[in-house]
Amino acid sequence: MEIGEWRRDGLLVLRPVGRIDNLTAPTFQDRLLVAARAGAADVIIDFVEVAYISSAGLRALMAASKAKPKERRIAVAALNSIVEEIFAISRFAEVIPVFDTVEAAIAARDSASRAPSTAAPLRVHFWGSRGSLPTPLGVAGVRSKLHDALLAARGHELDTPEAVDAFIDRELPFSVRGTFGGNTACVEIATGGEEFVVCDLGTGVREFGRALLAERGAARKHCFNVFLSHLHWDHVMGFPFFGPAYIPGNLIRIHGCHKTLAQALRRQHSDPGFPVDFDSLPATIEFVELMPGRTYQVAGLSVLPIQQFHTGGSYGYRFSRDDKTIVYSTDCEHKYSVLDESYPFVHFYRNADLLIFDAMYSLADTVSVKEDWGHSSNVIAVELAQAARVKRLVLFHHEPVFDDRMIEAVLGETVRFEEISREGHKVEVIAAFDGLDLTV
Amino acid sequence: MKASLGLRSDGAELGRLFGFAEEFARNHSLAEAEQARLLVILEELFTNAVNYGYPEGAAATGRIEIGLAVKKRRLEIHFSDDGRPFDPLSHAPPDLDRVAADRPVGGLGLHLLRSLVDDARYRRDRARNHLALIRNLAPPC
Repeated sequence: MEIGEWRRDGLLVLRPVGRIDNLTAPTFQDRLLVAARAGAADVIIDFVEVAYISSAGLRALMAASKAKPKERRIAVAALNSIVEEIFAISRFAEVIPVFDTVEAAIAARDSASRAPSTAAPLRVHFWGSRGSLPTPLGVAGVRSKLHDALLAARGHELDTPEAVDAFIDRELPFSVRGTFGGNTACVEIATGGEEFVVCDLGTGVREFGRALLAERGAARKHCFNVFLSHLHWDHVMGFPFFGPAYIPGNLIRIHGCHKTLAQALRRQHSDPGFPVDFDSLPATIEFVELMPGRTYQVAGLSVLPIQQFHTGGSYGYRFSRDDKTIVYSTDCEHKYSVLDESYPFVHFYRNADLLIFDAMYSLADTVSVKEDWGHSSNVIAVELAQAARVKRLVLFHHEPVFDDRMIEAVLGETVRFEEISREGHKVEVIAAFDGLDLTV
Repeated sequence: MKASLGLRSDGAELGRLFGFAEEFARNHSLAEAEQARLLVILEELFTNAVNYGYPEGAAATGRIEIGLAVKKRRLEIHFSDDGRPFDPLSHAPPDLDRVAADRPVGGLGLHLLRSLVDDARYRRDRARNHLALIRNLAPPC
């Protein structure tokens, strides 16, 4: 088979022509293995002239991806529809990243090579953890915390400020000394690099913007990469109050899989719903439509979207860098009856260091009154996390009707359920709260 | 209108198989994507039979027969060989859930084959493997 090629510093683009079948695959595989083993360049295979691929060709790609040195990348680009179908059936996008064009593959490679040193840990900060609607702590909530704290304080020696602090930190449960918070979904993944990565634009993003401006001032310009699970209110409503959008020179790239991405954000940012029109925002705002099942390189992370079960559609994102993986999967109704090894989400969550999971309802709610409301339960969360051998499970998107005590009770139940249903692999269960900071 | 072809159990016969399938696709005005799918199905069947059906090192004297027909937007594929008894439909599917680095290099051919057909039946009859496959052709767009 004919295989064209061209090079650029540290990059080799191979362009096979025709069919990659049992007759031609040996030539293809030999060429790939030579390039992969040499390790002198990242390899992009341009499929623009490939009519068809069979398992023999997939085998060659798999062999090359195993033979390459760890720090080298290999990617494919410009698949025609039949090759894409073969890739989808064999879930090959999970083996080798797929790009629409060679240019996109090169851009991703260049952006990854500018990425931060991967020695830095990934940090996950929860700016908003509540589902459906912002849920401020009210007078009754504060009073009940005071009440519980004072009751618990009886009989303790609290005659110095230090003793009071120690009592608060050690003796009071989180639901009394703190709060899970009331801002809607917004989670930041800090990569240690220059660019920001943010999941969802719930009201938590306002706090994120304020904290950033307070820390760095308005003069410094930033690039924000936003990934939207979907366009329901609670996941976008913070954006009109995101300070950095009002600063010229900032770049905000909003990624998502919905075709109506731009439309939804423009609509909430216009008369009569909001006084500032979207087009008058001083920051540069770009919309990037993603396709589920394709891997993208953003801010040094590999990002893989998956379609979820939710009214109007929602998407989960799997973020990876080297051997670290964070999955953001909210607003998905996992149906209990389909939970087994063949369930695609078991694979999607596989070996995640952190799984941020919408466990809004109790199981009783999920299988009765709130069936088809588009959310899942803590029990399903644990079962999925165990099946996928997730390290840490973060319960997220808390029901707005639940007060702090109730969320803490759900967490306690979930931890116990994880213990009794555990078969060898332990999943650590955490409840997200506004301000929670985790290192992966 | 049926078409049939006999091949030796020799990998080099794949070219003839492609020629036959392409001609069939032309004669029946199959869409390009359907032709490509047919080629994948036939290639996976053929290479599987040739590589695993016959004793290693033996002369390529096995006889493989292929019949194709289209009836009411249904593509019928009949594939038979005189290799050792083997039902590709009973073969365990590959574990695609394993993380990429742990996935084995091969094992995808039969998975592709099964994913691309809507119905498949195997029987062993008079020292031959017979596979009857049906694919519902996608409506032309």
